[in-house]
Amino acid sequence: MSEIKLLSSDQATITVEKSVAERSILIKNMLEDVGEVTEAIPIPNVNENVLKKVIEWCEHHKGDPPAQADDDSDSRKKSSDIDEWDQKFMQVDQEMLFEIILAANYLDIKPLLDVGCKTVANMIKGKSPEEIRKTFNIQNDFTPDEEEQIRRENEWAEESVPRSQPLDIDEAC
Amino acid sequence: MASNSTPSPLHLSTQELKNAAAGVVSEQASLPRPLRSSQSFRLDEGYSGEETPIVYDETSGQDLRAVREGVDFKIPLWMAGLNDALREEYAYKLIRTLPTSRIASLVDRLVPILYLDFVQMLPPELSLQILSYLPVRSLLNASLASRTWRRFALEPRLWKDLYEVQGWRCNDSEVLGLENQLREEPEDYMRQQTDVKRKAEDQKDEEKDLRDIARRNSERFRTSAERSGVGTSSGSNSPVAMDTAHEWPSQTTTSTEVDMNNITQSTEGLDMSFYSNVSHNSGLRPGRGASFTSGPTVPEGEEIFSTCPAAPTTSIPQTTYQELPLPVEPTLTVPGYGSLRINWAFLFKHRKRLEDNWLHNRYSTFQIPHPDFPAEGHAECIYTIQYSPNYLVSGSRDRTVRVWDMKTRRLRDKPLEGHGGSVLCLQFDESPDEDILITGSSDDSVIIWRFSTGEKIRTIKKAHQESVLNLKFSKKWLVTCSKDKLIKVWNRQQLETTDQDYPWHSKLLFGNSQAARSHPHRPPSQRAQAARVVQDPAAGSGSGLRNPYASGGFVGAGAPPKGALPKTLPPYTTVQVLTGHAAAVNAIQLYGDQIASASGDRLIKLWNLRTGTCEKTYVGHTKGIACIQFDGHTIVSGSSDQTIRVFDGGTQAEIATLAGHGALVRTVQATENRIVSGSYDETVRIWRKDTDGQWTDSHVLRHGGPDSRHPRPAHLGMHPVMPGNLQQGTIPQTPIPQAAIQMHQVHTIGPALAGAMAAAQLLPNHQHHIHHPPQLPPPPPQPQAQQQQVPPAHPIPTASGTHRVFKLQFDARWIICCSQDSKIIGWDYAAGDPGIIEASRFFEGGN
Repeated sequence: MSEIKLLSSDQATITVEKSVAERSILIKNMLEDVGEVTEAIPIPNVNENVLKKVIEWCEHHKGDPPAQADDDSDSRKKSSDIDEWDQKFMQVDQEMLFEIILAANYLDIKPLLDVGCKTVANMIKGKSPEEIRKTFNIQNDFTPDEEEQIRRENEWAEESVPRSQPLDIDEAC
Repeated sequence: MASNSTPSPLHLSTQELKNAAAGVVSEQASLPRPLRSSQSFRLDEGYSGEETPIVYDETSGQDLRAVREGVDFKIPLWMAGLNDALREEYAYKLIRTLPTSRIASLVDRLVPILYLDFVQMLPPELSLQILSYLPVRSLLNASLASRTWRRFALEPRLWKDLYEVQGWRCNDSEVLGLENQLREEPEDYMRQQTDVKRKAEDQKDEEKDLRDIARRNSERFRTSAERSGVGTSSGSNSPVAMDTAHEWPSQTTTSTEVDMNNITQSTEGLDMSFYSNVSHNSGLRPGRGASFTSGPTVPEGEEIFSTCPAAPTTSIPQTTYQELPLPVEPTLTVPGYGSLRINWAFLFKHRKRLEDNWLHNRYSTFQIPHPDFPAEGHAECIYTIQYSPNYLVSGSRDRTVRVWDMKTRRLRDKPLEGHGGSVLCLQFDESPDEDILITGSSDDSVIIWRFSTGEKIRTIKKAHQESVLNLKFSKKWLVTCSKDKLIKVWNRQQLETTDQDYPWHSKLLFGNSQAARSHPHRPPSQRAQAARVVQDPAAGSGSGLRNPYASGGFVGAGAPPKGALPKTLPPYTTVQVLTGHAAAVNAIQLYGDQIASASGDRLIKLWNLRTGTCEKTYVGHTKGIACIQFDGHTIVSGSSDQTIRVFDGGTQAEIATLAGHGALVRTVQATENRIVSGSYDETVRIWRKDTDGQWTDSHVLRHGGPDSRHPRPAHLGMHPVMPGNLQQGTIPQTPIPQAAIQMHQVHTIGPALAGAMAAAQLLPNHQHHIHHPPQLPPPPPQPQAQQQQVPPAHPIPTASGTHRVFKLQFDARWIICCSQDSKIIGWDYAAGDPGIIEASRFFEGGN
């Protein structure tokens, strides 16, 4: 079982099982290109803390079947389907969460990127605009007037009816 | 091997996101760049101007944030040397010495470190991926968070996905057409838009909008260094700020130059700048990505898109930008990459509103002929119609076929004359490569017309022995069915023996002909198959019933004599006769090589057009069947037993029985989630499939006026008449005397159903499982104001007859039907709403 070394942006060297590191398509391709490596592979955009976290995820998921070619069009729709371990894994502060997303994007670890994005989406779901602003410290740059206008504009989505009942029958025979 | 300076290629999650992001950030998405543009999360530090980089320097213990306070404050060395846990403890102890108001202010300053506006930080394609997991309501709430969020949340690509997730379909050719137009002839498109003044103004606003953003954008590059934000050193172990300064040492000195370039570029690519108030490091412009909004310290008010206070350090004139005119309502097109693109947020919104109109029964009505030109109308009842976005064609008992302009509702040219009896069925295809209209009549004939000119191309005088009750055609085949219990298949194109569609299987043509079986052009596999088919005479008729015509000669039907040598078949040769039904075949549906047929014998049969064999029989209806639809998977049929039944095409199982009509169900159309049916009870019913897959009776449209024969049930007494109800247009009318109705019925009863009716009378009317709609809930609250009822443009005329519904067609926007009346009635669920009307040409299917 071969191991490789990764060098984080803050110059920390982390030793990791090759098969685990290869969850990252970036690293996998890199290793395929250069063959045997003895020195540490620099990961210039990921610091030690984040890299460790990402490796933790890769280790837990090293046995996962490889992702389907492009099955994300469907899975992207359901943001709640995050498995329990991943949910716990993603219980981190926002900075770490976004760092993980960026690192997953950079390292090309699609399942981790998906889980990260879903986690953020779940933080938005079901929240009012005001709550969303609080959650992400968003500066409200609308004037009250504009906000009211948009609120009214968005009302088109409000009209909904429980789908299980007939709505109305204005005539019957 | 990668090094610090090697930019990494972007690995986008999907092509969609990539495209969407391209629309958002223009060229940046396709360029390599470092993962993080300097330090994404060091809110306000990043590239700085002439100011000393703000860094937490562990060695000196100096926190340069203090510069902001104008205080040269140093953390004692001994404290800086402590580990995180201890420093936290000290900090806590220190904080607890403060009065509460100070703690509160401290919390305010700390919040931005913990809660991050990711849209400002992540590459746009990642923000879009996050938003792509949101349902509609959440996405709209997100669109209210801030201007930047609104631009992201309204990204068309997100709404295209949502549109598809709803199961809504779109008219691909219209969508493609507009996309091509926008790409290739944007000027033409623009010009078209200026036809409408309102639109023209919008357009100007949009352009100004873009220019403003472009300028703001460029300004930000100059000024971001001035940012005096908070939370500069949120990460104690991350020296990225140092890296930044190190990596891009020249940025300060070159900033003005860069700015100039940027202005030019931004102005050239207005559309690209649309979203670029959120800027990310492109790899070309060092430090660009560091200009993230830090939130709380952005000055309130005017400088909305400028995330940083303007720096008075450059010679470029500064402008204080007024409120950005943000489009509140989505428009059909939005700026995209290099050109305008279709705004799916607009299409989604109006599709949703259109569907809500269906749910709440809001519509306007219209009639054909146009009320101002009653003379253009048919003289007698109308048995059949078909419409496209441009035309409607009707066939009547008055023996004429009329082509109407859907927009003006006027007659196009004069009526088409040729049939010697009622026109019972028709189909047309106006597309230039087809340009065809085919009609069938009670005079047993079929006429093929050139659609555009109305000239007769061909008449098949004795297509059947009796009335031609229904017909359907595809590019290759014409299929007709008749009261004579037969279904006939005709080739539309000349067929050579070398043609792959050549009907080698036709027993009608070749019977036991050895010559045909061994013909060299015949595919070998078919040769073997044919031998088998020929040896089994029952194979051609699923039920084993022999049809008197099956073995007899075909008089004048264009069929060559049986057993003939294989030869070239001219167009409209009878290539198959499908025998098996024991009563009139009232309706057929053609789907690929399959034909579904509905007969007065209570059976539905599914045929293979090529082999001429009946492959399946569907049992369920207790009386004759009048109408059928088949989409390859599901069969929906309406019967004299007053029900509509839904069958699984594959398993033959009856999936649903829809009971509610009070008489024969004469016409039906279905989409995945909606069935619309028309009946001799003079109503049109709309059925909806619930989320749990159950069909429910959601609306009843009365084709005629109030009818004394169908008093309103008591429990509906409190029910207000819905706005937009067709009833509204017909209130001021007098009920038709009962006797007159009956008289009229006698005279106008459709011959098409004679077979079904006759068969129906022979069969016992036993009890059958039906489910009635559940107890009616109170009507839903009417939405306020915005959807006021649109009164019908013209009152629905009260005919002097009854309104047995003969044929209807519906799509996402309209139901149009014809009846015993000589007028065609339409329900328009756009209900006069300009937005829905503009969007509806892109919609397809009644969902």
